[in-house]
Amino acid sequence: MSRGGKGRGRGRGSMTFNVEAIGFGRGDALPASTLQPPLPYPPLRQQPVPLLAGEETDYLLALKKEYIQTMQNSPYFIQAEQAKNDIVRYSDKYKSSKNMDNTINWKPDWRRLPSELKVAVRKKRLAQNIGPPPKLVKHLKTGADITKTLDALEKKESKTDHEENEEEEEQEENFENEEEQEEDENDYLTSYFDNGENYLDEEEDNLDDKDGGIY
Amino acid sequence: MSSRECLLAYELLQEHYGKIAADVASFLLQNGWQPLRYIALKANLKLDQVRKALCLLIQHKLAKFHVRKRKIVEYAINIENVLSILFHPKFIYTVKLLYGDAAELIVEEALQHGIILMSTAIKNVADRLPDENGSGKIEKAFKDLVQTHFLQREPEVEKNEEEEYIVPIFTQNEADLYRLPTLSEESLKRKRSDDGSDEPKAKRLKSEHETPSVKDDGVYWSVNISRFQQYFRDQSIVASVTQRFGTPCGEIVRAMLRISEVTTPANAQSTQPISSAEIARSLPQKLPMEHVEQHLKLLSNDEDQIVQLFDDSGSGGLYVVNLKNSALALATATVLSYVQQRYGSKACRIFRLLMLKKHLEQKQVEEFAMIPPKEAKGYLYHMLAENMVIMQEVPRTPDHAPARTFYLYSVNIQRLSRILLVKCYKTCTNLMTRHNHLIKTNKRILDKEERITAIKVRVNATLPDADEAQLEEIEEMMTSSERTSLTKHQHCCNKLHTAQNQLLNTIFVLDSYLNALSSA
Amino acid sequence: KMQTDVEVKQEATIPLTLETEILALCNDNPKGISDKSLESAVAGYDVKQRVTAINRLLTMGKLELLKGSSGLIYRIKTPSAVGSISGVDNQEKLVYQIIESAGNKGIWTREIRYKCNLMLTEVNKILKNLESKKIIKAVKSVAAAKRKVYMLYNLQPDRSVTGGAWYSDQDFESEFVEVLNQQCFKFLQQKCENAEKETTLSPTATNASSFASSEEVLEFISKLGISKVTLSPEDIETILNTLIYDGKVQQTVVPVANGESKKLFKALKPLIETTDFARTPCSLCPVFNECQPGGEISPENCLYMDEWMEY
Repeated sequence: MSRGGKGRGRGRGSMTFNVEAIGFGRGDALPASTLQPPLPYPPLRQQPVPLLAGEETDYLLALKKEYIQTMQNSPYFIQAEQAKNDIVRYSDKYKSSKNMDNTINWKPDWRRLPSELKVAVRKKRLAQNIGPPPKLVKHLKTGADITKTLDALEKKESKTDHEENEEEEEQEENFENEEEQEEDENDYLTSYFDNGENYLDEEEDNLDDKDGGIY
Repeated sequence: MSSRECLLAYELLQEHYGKIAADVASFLLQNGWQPLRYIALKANLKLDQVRKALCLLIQHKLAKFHVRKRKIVEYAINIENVLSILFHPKFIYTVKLLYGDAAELIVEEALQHGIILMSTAIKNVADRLPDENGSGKIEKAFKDLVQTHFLQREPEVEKNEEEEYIVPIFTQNEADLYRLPTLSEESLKRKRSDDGSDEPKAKRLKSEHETPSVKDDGVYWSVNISRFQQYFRDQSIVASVTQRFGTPCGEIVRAMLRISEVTTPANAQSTQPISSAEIARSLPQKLPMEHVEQHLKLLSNDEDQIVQLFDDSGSGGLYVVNLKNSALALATATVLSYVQQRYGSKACRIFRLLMLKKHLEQKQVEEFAMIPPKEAKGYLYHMLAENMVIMQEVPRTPDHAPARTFYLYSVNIQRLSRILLVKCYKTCTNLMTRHNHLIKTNKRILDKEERITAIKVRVNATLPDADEAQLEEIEEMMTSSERTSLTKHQHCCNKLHTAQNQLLNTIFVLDSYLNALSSA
Repeated sequence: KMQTDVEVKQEATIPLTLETEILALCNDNPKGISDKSLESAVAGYDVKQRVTAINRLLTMGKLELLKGSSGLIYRIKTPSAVGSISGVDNQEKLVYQIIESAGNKGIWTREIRYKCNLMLTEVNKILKNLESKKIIKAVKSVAAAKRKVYMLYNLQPDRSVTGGAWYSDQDFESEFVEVLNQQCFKFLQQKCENAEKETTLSPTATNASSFASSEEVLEFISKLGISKVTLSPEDIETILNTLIYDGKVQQTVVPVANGESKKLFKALKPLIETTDFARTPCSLCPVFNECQPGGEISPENCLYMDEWMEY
């Protein structure tokens, strides 16, 4: 605040601005002093305007959640490399183990991309002969049965509202993808608590690289 | 391109495509055009991961590339497209309203894949729709979307004779932008059977197959974002006109906008001039010609000049919708609404007063607004402190003595629109950050729920007549307090999502206005 | 015999001289001179002469008698009407004239000083005098709090001084203004609704009948009887203007018969009811700028979001 009019050491001088403008006049008591730092979240006097509600709102909400879920489960989604958990969790089986390696899970139209971007495309392991996994636990039921019951489940679900089941199906899809690999001919089946899954992937990829890959 | 936009872009990409893609994009946003190896080096990522990220970003039109010095390929981000990810659910919903379920799914597929072949889109949608004979309907929906420009054709790759090429070269005639390929029923059928019958018919995301026999090979389609933006813009203009002037006027403006839908370029200032006769003809609910003319006259007399009289000649006159004025009117209304909510009605009165009178001194503000001086000062200074209101010193004497200086207050809508938009971006990021935090915090419960659901599915599948006790046991794996936490978590996430969905309406209005300014 | 002549002569002149002397003494002591001091000052004269002189001066209105703490005080009397009493202070006359010419708008000290070129102390003295005589009065002006303007005693101060209808004893009647604001808006709103209910009218006619003049509004307000003072159309217009600044009313000008133009007012609906940004807690947040992910104030620990997500 500039007080140009005040003489030095000459006692009360006049100020160059209208004193009332500050909010209190001459001789009035100063406003109450604050004794503590201001609260990080001072109380609000009012709440924000309520969110819109209705059919459109609900539908858009469902769409948004679905869309995010689909994108996160899509082959496009690139999972960041996660530190290996020392405890194998059941949910690891359902987490995407895709994209933690050097292959791309979807097939781009390479003609549309600069040639330097070409990456190996992960092959679908439909009918490949996988070497015996290091660890094995026999499953309760045989592979074929599981596929059958899954198919039955599929058919049931395809009849219901596909939107509601989208999420479940995505989980199903994850589940299926894993199952697919072991579908044919082998009796090396995944168990409920199999932890050989990840080992398989890495080994396989190494194989690819040894062969020279696809560049 | 502000840093706030980059932060929001990061969050969106991380949510939809993963951290690696987000990191690559973040690096490019901060550093402009960069080559592949440099990205990997400086962003500290594995080369293949960067490749994957770039493939995905380019596929989804979120990144672009060019060649420099004939050898080096550089990449950059299309930030507007990244921010448009926010609007994807709204795109899908819009199409559902306009063209039905088949169209909805087509647009969903197109958004999920970025660019897509017509045949793939039709096929994927057919798999998802229960209707067996649906492919005809789906094809029609696709055609509708193309004809109304909601889908657009991507430029095609020029045939390259050489074996070695660095980057593909794209060409497109303007006429081809919406030209449909001819797909025969044959090729569609063949495509379906190529899937392999031993694969279960899962409703999942499929990537392109390389069936060379399909006639539309290489002809890709994507969502035309600016067409959707035009639609949203038209909707908001009609909504505000209806709100202020009533339904008949709203319908008139809607008709005007519809007539000029495909003839008005995206950044035009006004629509083409339309005669009142034509407008009257295109109204869904007929009004007497005289009334239409009167409404138009009233609209064109309004201060905001959303509708303007173009020419008086001829019977009834020619009118335009002035898009630039509409953008300004909507942006102004947005800013005013914000001021009202945050500072109160009295402060809003002062604000609007300043807007109308351009410059005022504090004294004059108190006088015109008829608010007690102490109160008026309070509001004015609060708004000044938060940069809503600007103060300018106009000295009367050379020594700038305060007692002899004018202190003039004013507001600048353009500046405020930008400030408010940045706040919206930050708010969106805040909501997403909180969402991520919730997921992290409740990870344990969420994982547990996932497991339980999976177990339930398994049990139902393998033991079709599982008895009550077993099912109950599974249910009890989750304690009631955990269940409560889970419900609360869902509620909070829903609220955060819904808030984002509605926030983007404000973002849209402000962004369109600022774009309209820069394109003028 | 000579002695007697001299004596007579002396006697005749003494009263006049004494009067002048007493007056001069009182002039020198404008605050008044006590009986005792006067006595000693004119000691040369006897009591009878002194008393006579004082009585004469009092009768003529040149002196006034006051009761002091220690006895009687004689004070020079300022004239109550200009020109009617001789010896009246010219300065006072000047000040009086200046104030008179200011009419019922009044004039403040600095300006008086400027116009009569007297020193502040002089002016203040004169003002105090005039005031105590109830010749002039001081009125607080709403233009500047704590500033007084002076005007003739029996004048009604002008509205610009008192603040007119919106001020009662220098207090701005904000509640009154607010009530008027609401009532005027209600009236205009109702007028609009009535016009719209008339389905037989054309759009132009509907629009026209939604407008009202300030006189019309004034009539409505007067009938409500909420105002203690009579309001003028201009008063109503200042209220209607506040409604324009509230964005609730619009104004239009139409030409009238005699070549002039008239202002008309109509209730207005907003273009946007509420912007969706205002539905988020961040729009109200006082610490928005300090908020950073991972910071002390952050989206993760935001109290406002906590509260907001409760319902």
